[in-house]
Amino acid sequence: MRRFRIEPSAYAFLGTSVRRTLLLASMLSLLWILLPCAYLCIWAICGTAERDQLGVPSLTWFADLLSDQDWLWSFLVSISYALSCAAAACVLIALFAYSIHFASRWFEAASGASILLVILSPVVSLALSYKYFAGVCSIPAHWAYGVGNTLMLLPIAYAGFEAAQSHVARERLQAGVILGASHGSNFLYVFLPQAWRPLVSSYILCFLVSLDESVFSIMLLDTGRVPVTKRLWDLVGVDSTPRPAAAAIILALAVLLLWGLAAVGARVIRHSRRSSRRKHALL
Amino acid sequence: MKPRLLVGLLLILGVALATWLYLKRGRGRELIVVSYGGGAYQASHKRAFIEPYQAQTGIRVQSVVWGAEFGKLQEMVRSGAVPWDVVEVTASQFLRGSREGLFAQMTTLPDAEEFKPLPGGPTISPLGVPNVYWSTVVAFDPHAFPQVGPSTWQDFWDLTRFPGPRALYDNPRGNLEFALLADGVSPANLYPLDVTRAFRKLDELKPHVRVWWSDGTEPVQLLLSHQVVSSSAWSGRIVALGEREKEIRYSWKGAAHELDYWIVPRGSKSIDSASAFIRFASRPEEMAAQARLIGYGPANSQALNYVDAKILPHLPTAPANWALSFVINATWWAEHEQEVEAFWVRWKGQ
Amino acid sequence: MKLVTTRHLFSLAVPLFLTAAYLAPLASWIHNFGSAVDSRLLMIAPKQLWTTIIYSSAATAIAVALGGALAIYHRFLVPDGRRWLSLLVCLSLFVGFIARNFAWLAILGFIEEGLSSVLGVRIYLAYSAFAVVLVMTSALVPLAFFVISNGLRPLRDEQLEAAQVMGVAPHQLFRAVIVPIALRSASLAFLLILAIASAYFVTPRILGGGKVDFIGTTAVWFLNHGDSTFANQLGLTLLVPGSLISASLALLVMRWRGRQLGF
Repeated sequence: MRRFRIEPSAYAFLGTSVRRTLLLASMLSLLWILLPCAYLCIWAICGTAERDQLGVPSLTWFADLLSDQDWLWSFLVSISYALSCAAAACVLIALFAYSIHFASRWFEAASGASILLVILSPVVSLALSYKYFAGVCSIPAHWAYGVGNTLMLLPIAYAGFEAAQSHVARERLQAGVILGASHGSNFLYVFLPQAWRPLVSSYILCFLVSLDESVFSIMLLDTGRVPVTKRLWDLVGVDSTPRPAAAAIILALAVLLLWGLAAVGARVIRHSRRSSRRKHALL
Repeated sequence: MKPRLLVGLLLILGVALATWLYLKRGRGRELIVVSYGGGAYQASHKRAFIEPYQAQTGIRVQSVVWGAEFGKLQEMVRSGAVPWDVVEVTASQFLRGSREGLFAQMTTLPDAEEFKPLPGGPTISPLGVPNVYWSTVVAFDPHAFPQVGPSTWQDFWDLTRFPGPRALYDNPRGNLEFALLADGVSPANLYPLDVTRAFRKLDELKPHVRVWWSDGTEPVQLLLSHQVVSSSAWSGRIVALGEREKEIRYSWKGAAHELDYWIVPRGSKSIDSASAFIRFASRPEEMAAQARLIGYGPANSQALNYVDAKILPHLPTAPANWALSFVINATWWAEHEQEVEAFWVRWKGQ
Repeated sequence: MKLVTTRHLFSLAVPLFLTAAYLAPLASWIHNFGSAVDSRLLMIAPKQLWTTIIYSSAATAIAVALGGALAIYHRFLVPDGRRWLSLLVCLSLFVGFIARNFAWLAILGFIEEGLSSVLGVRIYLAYSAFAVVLVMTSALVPLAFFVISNGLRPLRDEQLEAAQVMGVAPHQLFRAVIVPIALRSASLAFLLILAIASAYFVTPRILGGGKVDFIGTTAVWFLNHGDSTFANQLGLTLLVPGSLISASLALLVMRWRGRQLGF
């Protein structure tokens, strides 16, 4: 609880009543957000075939899902789509973020507004339009789903980059072009080294959002190999067992594992870069 | 920086591509069979039809769930991208789908020795084979009414004798009939339905309907967890509870029977295999195996010879139960469903 | 001289993608379903739109209020606490939205049981408008928190110290300095989250008991029942509140930029 104390210097800015109100409201918010997560963990381990009954802790439901080939496919499909659609969205936004340094302000404003317009369009309407358009143009459902998923991630990736555009020095980019570098080289060797941090945080956010995307998967996908969100939707009103909880926990653990591997990889890269810099310094 | 970034990006794209290629590869010898709502019903399909068929033929059968979303089937057939091979549809959907040309002609059908329809029941057609009769009954929680509970639709509407929250299926089909039965109309005079009268009767009950359920497992869960005192429910889902069946009581008086059909959607890539599967699943022994698991009445009268005596009273097609109930008129619903559904949605929202 | 340079390819990637993936499907959809209006639309759409807007606005308002309080609290926490708080808020995003809806159904069932044994009378929480708003709020608070936290970044301790040195009391400082900055990002958060909430159909379907029908839920219902034309027309009506929200947001942003530029 000491971690959640207000900085002593801030005591002067916030009166006692304000501090207490903020603390109460924050605890209430956290409880509101985390209660279902906590229950999902309990339900996955102690749940029985009846929704409101808890029993002896066991890993039966996890084993049940992990031994079902269709569920395994769903986990793989969810993670694959999340990895690739988040990558596609971040690549597009990185290209856009690079190009606005050389484009006019009206282009920047118009493009930014049209990206944000995506998030303001009701997802249900977009998904219905995709269903119709994919049918008319004979586009396979999984392709339509991938493109739709990437489209919904664009504003999120854009918001992440916009917040961190201060990391990118326009002068360096323009210097690169003036000195004769092609835009491709400028992008790879000048822009990306400056922008990789916001790129990575946008990617992580896009990955999490894409993993939880449900509207497009519910409306567009019908075959057996569907993402976890579609499979969970099919269980609504049908399954009272803890399978949804077990599926959610398995997916969360898979994401944490991926995140852990990425963090270890980043640490290894940083360590090798530091040791190579030391080597060069000694030489 | 560049090589590592490129390697990272290539790894991500590689995983995605490999997954896509694996998903894209041919299905090989595989059939996709679509049944309702998962849970006990899908389990009965798997144990009675799919596993024995796989063992006998070596063809892999994938069991997929749907909630009778007719629109999905329409979209699939019209777009030409039909991943499903065998689908179970309701009688009114069968009539509508046949009219709209959504079904393929089967290449092999059960022969006369294998399949004998029930007296007065529909026969096999090249577009569809009758499968099971399933029933919507009035069920109640004995915890709320230990002595006597609602056993007719008039009792269900009687909030003085049987107070408490109710649950009903979120579909006008069946509910309009129940409302008219509660209002004193006899089963023989139900059709054509007096829609205005039915909605007026439903107005009396609406404030006490706690849940408009959309799938068969819901009313069972609502009754078991005492969240409602009485509900319409699909009889087979109650029978499938096994030992816990006694925690819910139900009555066959005024039960509504509906028939399901096996069809092959037009555009399926495995019409021959699909037809062979349907023929296998229509055999008396297989249909009796399903009846044992889910308590629905096989449309093949031969199957009743293979059903255990203690299961028979639970089946909708048992003579005692059949006499107390009625069959939903699929023809009337095929013609009026779209119009009535809009009134239903508006009425619920008022 | 090249007609299309690498710079053009870089610049046109996003506009081309948006044209192909956003404008084209939307335009062809509106063109196909927007011409002949189904007579049933007037019977159903107004009430459903009203239900959608009322409940999503309620959930959004509560989410923004709670998310704002959480964001302000986060701003003044010790650095370690800030990291932990952000992690806890992120944790909810890991387990997925649909699964959380399932969990809430069970939690509300337990609360009902508990309350009925204490009070002796059954209180119904699940399968109601209350449950829908409660669960939607639970899902929207993290979004509100992130947007408002981002908006509080320009708030510097030096500004607050300067105000304090000039004799401003803490409660006045909170009202006159912190709240206006938070309100600005809160109004942005409100509009963004309202756009997302109005398109919800999962929570009304799971927790509404069939009594709280959003436009999205009804569109999916008709789609499943084979009436795809009407379902698409219902989906089109959702563009009405979506356009109003976009216009409000554009006005808000223009007003801010106008203030920054001094007019």
